[in-house]
Amino acid sequence: MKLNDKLEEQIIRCSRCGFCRAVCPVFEVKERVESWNTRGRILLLRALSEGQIGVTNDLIERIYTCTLCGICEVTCPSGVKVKDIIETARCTFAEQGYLPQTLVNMGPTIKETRNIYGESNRKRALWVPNDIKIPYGGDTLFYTGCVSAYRTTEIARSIVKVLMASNYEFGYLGSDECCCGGVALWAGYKRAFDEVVSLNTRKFEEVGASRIVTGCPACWSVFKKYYPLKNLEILHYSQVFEELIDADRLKLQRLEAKVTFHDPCHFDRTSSEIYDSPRKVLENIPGISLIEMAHNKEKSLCCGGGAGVVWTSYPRLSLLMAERRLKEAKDVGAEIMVTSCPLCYITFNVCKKRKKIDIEILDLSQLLTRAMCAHSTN
Amino acid sequence: MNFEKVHEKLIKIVGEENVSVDVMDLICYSRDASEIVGLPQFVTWPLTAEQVSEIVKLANEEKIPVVPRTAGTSLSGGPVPVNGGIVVDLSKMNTIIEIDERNFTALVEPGVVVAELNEQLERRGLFFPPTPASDIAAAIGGSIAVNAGGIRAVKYGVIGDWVLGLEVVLPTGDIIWTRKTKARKCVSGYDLTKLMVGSEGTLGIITKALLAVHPLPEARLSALAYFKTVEEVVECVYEAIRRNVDPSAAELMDRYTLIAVSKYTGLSFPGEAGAAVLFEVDGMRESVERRLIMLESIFKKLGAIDYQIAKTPEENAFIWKSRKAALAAIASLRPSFITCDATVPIEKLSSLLNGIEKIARRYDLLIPCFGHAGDGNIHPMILFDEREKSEVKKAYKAVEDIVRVTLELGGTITGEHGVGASKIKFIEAEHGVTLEVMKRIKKTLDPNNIMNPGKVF
Repeated sequence: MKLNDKLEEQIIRCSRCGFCRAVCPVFEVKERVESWNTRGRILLLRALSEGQIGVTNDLIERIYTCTLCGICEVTCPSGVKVKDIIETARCTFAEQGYLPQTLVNMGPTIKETRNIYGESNRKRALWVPNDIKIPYGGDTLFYTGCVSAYRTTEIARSIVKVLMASNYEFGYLGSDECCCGGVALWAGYKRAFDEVVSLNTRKFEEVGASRIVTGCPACWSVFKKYYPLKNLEILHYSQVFEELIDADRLKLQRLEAKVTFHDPCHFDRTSSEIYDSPRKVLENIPGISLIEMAHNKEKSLCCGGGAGVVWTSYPRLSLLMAERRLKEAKDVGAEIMVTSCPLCYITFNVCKKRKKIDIEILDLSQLLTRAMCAHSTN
Repeated sequence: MNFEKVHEKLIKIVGEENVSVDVMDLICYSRDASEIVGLPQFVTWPLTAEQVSEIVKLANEEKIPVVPRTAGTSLSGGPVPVNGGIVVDLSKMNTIIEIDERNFTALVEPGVVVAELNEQLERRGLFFPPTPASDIAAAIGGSIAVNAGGIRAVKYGVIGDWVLGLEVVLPTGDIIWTRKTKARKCVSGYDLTKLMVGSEGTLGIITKALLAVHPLPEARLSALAYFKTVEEVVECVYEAIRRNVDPSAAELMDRYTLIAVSKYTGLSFPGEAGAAVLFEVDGMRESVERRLIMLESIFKKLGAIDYQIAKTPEENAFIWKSRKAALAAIASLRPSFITCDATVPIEKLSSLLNGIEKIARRYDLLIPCFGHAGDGNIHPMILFDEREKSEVKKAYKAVEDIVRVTLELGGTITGEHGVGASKIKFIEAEHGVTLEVMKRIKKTLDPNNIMNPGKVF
């Protein structure tokens, strides 16, 4: 199969040093068999481009089980752009119809329904409680993201509750909000992704937004990496929470708990500030004792969700990764594992139930609302 | 060889889930970090020494090669099945069986990753000193097989110096211990441990290793100095060793490495610097402080352009930033590289570096050099683009010329990476008739030549 030149240039940059063996979460749960790590995947793509092998279901599985967590990329001494390789490879595969059954039509679905679930876009704002009125548009937009708009609606509500309690001014797009497109790209639908990008870009300009606060790290990273949003500031809600804490606009009561924080992969493992924000928030809740897991911040382990792509197509593999991470949380004695990504939240909660692991999984916003409730009861 | 019959027997030995003939697995086990390529017919993942023994016996019956492998981080083609056969990947045998704090030993399986062992040891205030630069991925089995070194070899020696005994599956399938005692001293009989260390899987497969470990030093701090010339750096390393500074690392970075690092990380260094040297000293706190003062006086005496001495762990980490970024920085300059392993007596280090610079000019190639100056071991990185045939040709000519210069200076073709398949053509030039003795030993232990054929000689 012909792979594009940019992809081939990245493929030959891999010096096969094997450092990715040390970090790849898939490789670890696949009993350290080489074809499941980054070096293996790159060797297979190389063999594919040289005509040594053709596309088989097994090869599709190797390419689509990379969680795109990026930990190999920051470990790679040759600076190989692994995420670009996998994304480009998937686009090449999907164009020719080679992708997991579960992802077939993901691109057109997102384009048509503007969400990853193929549900009616009219339902997108149903998460908003009746007693709350969020203005449409405005300077600062809260961008819910598909997962919290349709599934983890409790997270969207908690985020908004915290923002409102501190009189943070923001609006949203209601049912006009459209998927960021990340899942389309990661499933291999480049054209659908590009269309969503221009649609969203136009919309953000139209409502005159200068700041977007995302409820999901995946959307955050997609806006930052792929969108031509020069005059738009992109923040994750945990950064805003930090601002509010710094400005003393959040009144929090005592909440006794041993908490660990799971850093979502989509914070890109490059800038350290994004890792400090949730920690500052947690440290400001009186009574919370924050314990770090062995792998944290830039070295955090993937929950296994793989931006939804792995979760949808290879859930058993996702659960193995989630289980490893939850064990790590238990090992340090955490009672609550807090995260700030709805995808990680789902993966961990399902894993916890299936494997009967005794730990509570909460989104950062949920823990904060709990501390705020403690305040109002008092 | 009856492929189906061998496949069936392998399934019986290791179970269906631990043997593969899938072309994807064959491809993934056809390479290491060198340029050598070779497809196996089978990949196996044994879980016990007994299973390894059964595989080797089968290979003997069928006269097919057996190629042991752990993490495959090798830079010499050692774990590549150049003549096909059965790859025996020991990655699933990765248990730290025992850490004996009272006797300072660790008993481990070959698939244990060096950094993972050190993580466990450090929790007990111990460490395994010989750490190859690839320690986050490299496993004990492969590291012993090539007798790996690393940055601390100048003080602590190479892996072989820390291996007390090995459980080995011999090429006939017998399982032996080269020595069993945890006692530090043992001179009874021939030293079969030393024979196995560095034998690159040609004399047997390591299935357990009894290692010596060391208490963690109380302090570990570093100093970095820039000099105008490579000669001054080499003199500085000599003075440090001569005056008993006892560095636990003495790393050199040449001008091209510094330029690459600066471009890549934004770290600045004095413009007129021709090379830099990075020392680490470890031990009791007072001793480390005193030795850093000694280093400072050596830097001053030899006219260092600039230097930094770490006083805190943070400053220490900063000083190491440039050295740690060296490989990535150099790799970012061109699409492909070959890492050489030139090693000479330290007195000849400047001649080696000057020789390499001439070679780089001869072939119009960029060859940044960095490495372990304290033991005369430099890693010239030959940069090229593997898509350009003429450049590939020049790069390999440069490899040959570097080997030639190294041997002319009384050095060795490999200090820590192993001969593997990539340096096989140079071994006779280094060892001459002695090679015949090695071949006789090989023939005695492995009469059917099934153990990793096509390696070492």
